[in-house]
Amino acid sequence: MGQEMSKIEEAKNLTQNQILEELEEQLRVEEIEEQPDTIKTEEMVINFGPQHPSAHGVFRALFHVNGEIVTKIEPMIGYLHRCFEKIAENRTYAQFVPFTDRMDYVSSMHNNWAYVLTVEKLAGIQVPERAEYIRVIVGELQRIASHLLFLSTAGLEAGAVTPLQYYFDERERILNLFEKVCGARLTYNYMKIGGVRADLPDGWLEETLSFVNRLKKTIVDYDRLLLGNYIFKKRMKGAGKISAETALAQGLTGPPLRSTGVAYDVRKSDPYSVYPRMDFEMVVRFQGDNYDRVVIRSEEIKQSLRIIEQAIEQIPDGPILAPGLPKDIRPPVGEAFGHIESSRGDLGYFIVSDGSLKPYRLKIQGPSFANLQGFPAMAEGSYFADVVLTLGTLDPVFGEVDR
Amino acid sequence: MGSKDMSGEGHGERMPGQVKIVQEAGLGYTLTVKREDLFKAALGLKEAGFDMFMFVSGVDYPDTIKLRYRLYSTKRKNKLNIFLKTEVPKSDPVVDSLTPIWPSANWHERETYDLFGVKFRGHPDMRRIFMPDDFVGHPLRKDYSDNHMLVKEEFIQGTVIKGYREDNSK
Repeated sequence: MGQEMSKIEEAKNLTQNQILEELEEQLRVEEIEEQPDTIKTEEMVINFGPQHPSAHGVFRALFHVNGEIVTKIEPMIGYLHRCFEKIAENRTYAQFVPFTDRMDYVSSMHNNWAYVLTVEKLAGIQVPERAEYIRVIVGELQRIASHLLFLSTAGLEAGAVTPLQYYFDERERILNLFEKVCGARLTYNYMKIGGVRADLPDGWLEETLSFVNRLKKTIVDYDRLLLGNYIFKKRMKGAGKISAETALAQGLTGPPLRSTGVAYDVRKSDPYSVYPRMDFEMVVRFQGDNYDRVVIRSEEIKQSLRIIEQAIEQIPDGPILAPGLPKDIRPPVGEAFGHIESSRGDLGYFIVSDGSLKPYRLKIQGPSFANLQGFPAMAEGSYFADVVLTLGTLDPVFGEVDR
Repeated sequence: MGSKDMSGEGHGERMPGQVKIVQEAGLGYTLTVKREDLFKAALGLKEAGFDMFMFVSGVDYPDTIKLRYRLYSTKRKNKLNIFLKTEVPKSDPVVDSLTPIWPSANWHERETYDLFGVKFRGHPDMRRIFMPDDFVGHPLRKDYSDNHMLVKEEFIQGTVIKGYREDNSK
C-alpha cells in the first residue's frame, strides 16, 4: 500500500513538474513573441484556383506562404487554351475576325482592330478616313468600358461594393451604344478588313457626345468615392510595388508598365490610325504600386473622353469600307506585324502569308500574357491578403493569356 | 517584299561579324543571324538599348522552323522596334535561350517549346506552358496529327456510330 501511495505521490510530483515545465515553456514563448523575427514558422503551400472568384478567369497558382508573407508564387496557365493560332491557319482572313472577339472578351474592339490593322498592312489596303475615325471612337469607348470594369472589380476585391453599381451603370451606357452600332454587347465583330461593318446610325454621335459630357462630370465623383476612400488608399498604397527596371525586365506593358514611370504607349510611340491628329496625354505614374495602377486607369478614362470629343468634332463624311476589295483577300507573300494599345497594353498580331486565302501562320502577342508573367515579381514578399489585389490590378483576361 | 539596306548605319556597326539590319515593309527593322550567333547578337542588342523582349514565335516550314523575336527599346529617342530572325533545322531544333538576357523571355520560350518543339538551351524551366505535361506532339507544327487522341475502333459499339464515322471519313 505504502509503495503504491509513494508511487501516486511521485506521479503527482511528476505531473506538477511537467506543469511547471509547461508553464516555463509558455513563458518562454511569450518572451519570444516579443521578438517576432525569431519565431520559427513552417513554409506552407496554398493552392489557388483554377476556379476562384478572384482569379478573373481560370488561373492556377501555388502560393508558398511563410506566416503572413508570400515567399514564392508558381503560376500555372493554359486552362483556357483554345489554340486560336492553329484555328487561324484553317480559316480565311475574313473568317478569323469573330475569333479575335473571344480573345480578350472585355475589350473585343481592340482585338478586332489589331487584327484587321495587321491584315491591311500585309495586303496594302488603305482604310477610308471615316472608318478610321469610327475605329478611334469605338476603340476609346471600349477602353473606357474595360477600365470601368477594372475599377469596379478593383474596388470589389478591396471590399468596396458600392462603386461597382456606379461603374456598371456607366459601362451599361457604352454597351448600349455598341449595341446600336453592331447589334452585339460583348463580342462585336464590328471591324472588317478595309473598314468597319456598318455605318453609324442616325443620332449616334450626338448620343455618344451626351454620354461623354455626362461621364466627364460623374467620373470626378466616382474618383472621390473609390480612389479618395481612406480604406482603399490604405489597402492599395505601397502594396505590390515594382520598379521600372524590374517591370521592363519582366516585359510588362500597358498601365502596369506606365505606373512605374516608363512612358510606353503605342498610340504615342508608334502612332496608328488618326491618333497623330488627336491631342491627348500619356498618363504616367511613378510609384509602381497597386494604387498607381488603379489611378492610371481612371486618368486614362479622362484622356479617352478627350479623344472621343475631338474625333466626333473631326469625323468626315464618306465611305466606311475601302473600295474595290475582293470578297476573299489574298495578301502577297510576306510577313507583317501590327500592334495597337489595347486596354491592357501592347496588343500585336504577327501574320505570315504564303499568298493563299488563309494565313500561313498567325501569332498573337497578348498583353495579359506578358503582364501576368510579371505577377510573381510584384507579389512575392508581400502579405498574403495583398496578393489577390495585386493580381487584380494587372487586369489579366485569361482568354488572351491562354489564347 | 521590298527591303532597304541599312547596314553600316546606327547600331548596325556594333553587331558582331557580318550582320545587316535591313528594313522590311511589313516588319520594320529586321536582323537575320545564324542560330550560333543568336545569343551574341541578342547581347549586342541589349547593350544597344533594347530593353524589352516582346515575344518569340516560330513559323513552321517543311525543313526548318523560323524563329522571330520582337525586341523593343524604350531608351532610344525614336522608340525602336526590331525583329531578330533566325532558323533551326527540324532535325535538331535547339537554340540558345535568351532568358539570361531578358527574364521576360521565360514564358515566351516555354510557349514556343510547347507549340513548336523548339528546345531552348540554358532555359531555367523548360516545360510545356499551355498543354498538359503528358501531351503528345507540338500542335502548331504543320505535320501535327491528333490521331492518337481518337477513340479506337474496338471501343465503339453499335453500327450507327460506326456508320457515322465511316461516312465522315470519306
